[in-house]
Amino acid sequence: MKRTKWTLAVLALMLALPLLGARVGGAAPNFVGTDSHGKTHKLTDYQGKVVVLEWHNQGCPYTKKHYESGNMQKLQKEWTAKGVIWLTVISSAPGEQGYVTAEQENEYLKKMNSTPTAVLLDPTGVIGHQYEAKTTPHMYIIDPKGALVYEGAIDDKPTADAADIAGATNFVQTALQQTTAGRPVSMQVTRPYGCSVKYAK
Amino acid sequence: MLRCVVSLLLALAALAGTPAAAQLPSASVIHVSLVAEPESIAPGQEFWVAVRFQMEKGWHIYWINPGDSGSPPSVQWRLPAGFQAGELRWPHPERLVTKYSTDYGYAGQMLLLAPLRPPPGLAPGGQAELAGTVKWVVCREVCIPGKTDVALSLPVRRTAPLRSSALFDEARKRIPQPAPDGWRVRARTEKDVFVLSIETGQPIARAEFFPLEEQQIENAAPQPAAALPRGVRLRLKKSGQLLKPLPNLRGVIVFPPGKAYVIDAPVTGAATKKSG
Repeated sequence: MKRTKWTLAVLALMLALPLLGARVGGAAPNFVGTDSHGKTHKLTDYQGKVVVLEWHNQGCPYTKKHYESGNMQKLQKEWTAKGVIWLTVISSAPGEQGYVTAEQENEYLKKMNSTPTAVLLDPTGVIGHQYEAKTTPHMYIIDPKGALVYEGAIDDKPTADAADIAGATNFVQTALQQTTAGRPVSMQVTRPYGCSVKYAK
Repeated sequence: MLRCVVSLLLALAALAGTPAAAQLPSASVIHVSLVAEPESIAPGQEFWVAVRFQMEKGWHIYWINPGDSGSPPSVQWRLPAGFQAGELRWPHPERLVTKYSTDYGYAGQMLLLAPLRPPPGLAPGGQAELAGTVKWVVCREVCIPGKTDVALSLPVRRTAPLRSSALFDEARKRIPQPAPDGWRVRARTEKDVFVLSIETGQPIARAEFFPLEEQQIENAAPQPAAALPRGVRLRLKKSGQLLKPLPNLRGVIVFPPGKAYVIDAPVTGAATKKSG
């Protein structure tokens, strides 16, 4: 009897946690999303793997900084080759900047030579609000146990100028090196910089 | 005329969120120039210059702490040999609530001020060529990055009149001043809020706090103010991203209609539950 009570309490806690939003150190909210090829992805599909979430808006100058320079694609390529799951998320609502159809997104990926694991189309902003994504880009890293271990900026140079990439410290690179090595992430939270996410209102 | 039509079309396209937003020139929504307070300068005598940002209605640029999105402009000076540039003086920002975020910045016109000091050995009779590269991001529903070279040529005379200009006087008024001696400034940490109290000696009904550092308070949260017999108390919602206790809450406090001060409030724990 006592045990049932405990189990219930633990269950309730587990259920409640994802509702508290994304907090580093806690469980990453589970999500269900559809990618630009119509395939469904759930966070729980990737248990045992490191997952990167990248909030994206192809019209935003801060996003363009990292795509036109090839910086983001390089990071995607390096880490997906090492078994990391990279999910780009687009939370722009229809009619807002950055909103794309699946077809437009696939064209863009080809044009930019971008190879994330998948691009989740989130026009209702559900996933964006679950993670409280504020900017494009806004980066999140989830460890193999499903805990959020990093959230924030891609690097320490909050500008829209690609010339600043060379001298920047890439927080995502460092956090991925640490997480994939099973070590704690030294810089867990930074201020994301970029354009506001163009959510539906 | 054709140019007007083209920029209007581009602007409309940008608002519609089409890829044409990418081609919208920053210059059509913001004008950036270098202005100086005096008409001429003298050896060794400090004077003020400013990068002037003039924006179309609806567009804004950012403060040092931009809030939820954006980034502040930057200036890289190119000055004649021996000239010294003091640090940039940022006017106090305003809270810009957009459809998507709460930012700290400037709309309309903003003067980013800096004091410059020519070398004492500067020879009178010539011209001093002041220049710099300015970078910014200007946003409305969409953001446009911009970069321009600004320049200004000022005659060097043996002496220069120390006359202040209305434009610079107005701009200097917006620079936050150090909190006067005798003010009592502190913050108490509670579960989800910082209770900031500022005692200046007289009751204050309204105040607005702008944190100098990012991710300390929720930018979008209202800041309920309560007048104290000798000051004001503000309740500031803590940022969800705050992982460690804060030793200090540093920022700019603005008392409408526009007096601004830099404050540094030591944060004390909630253990002693005295309501002040």
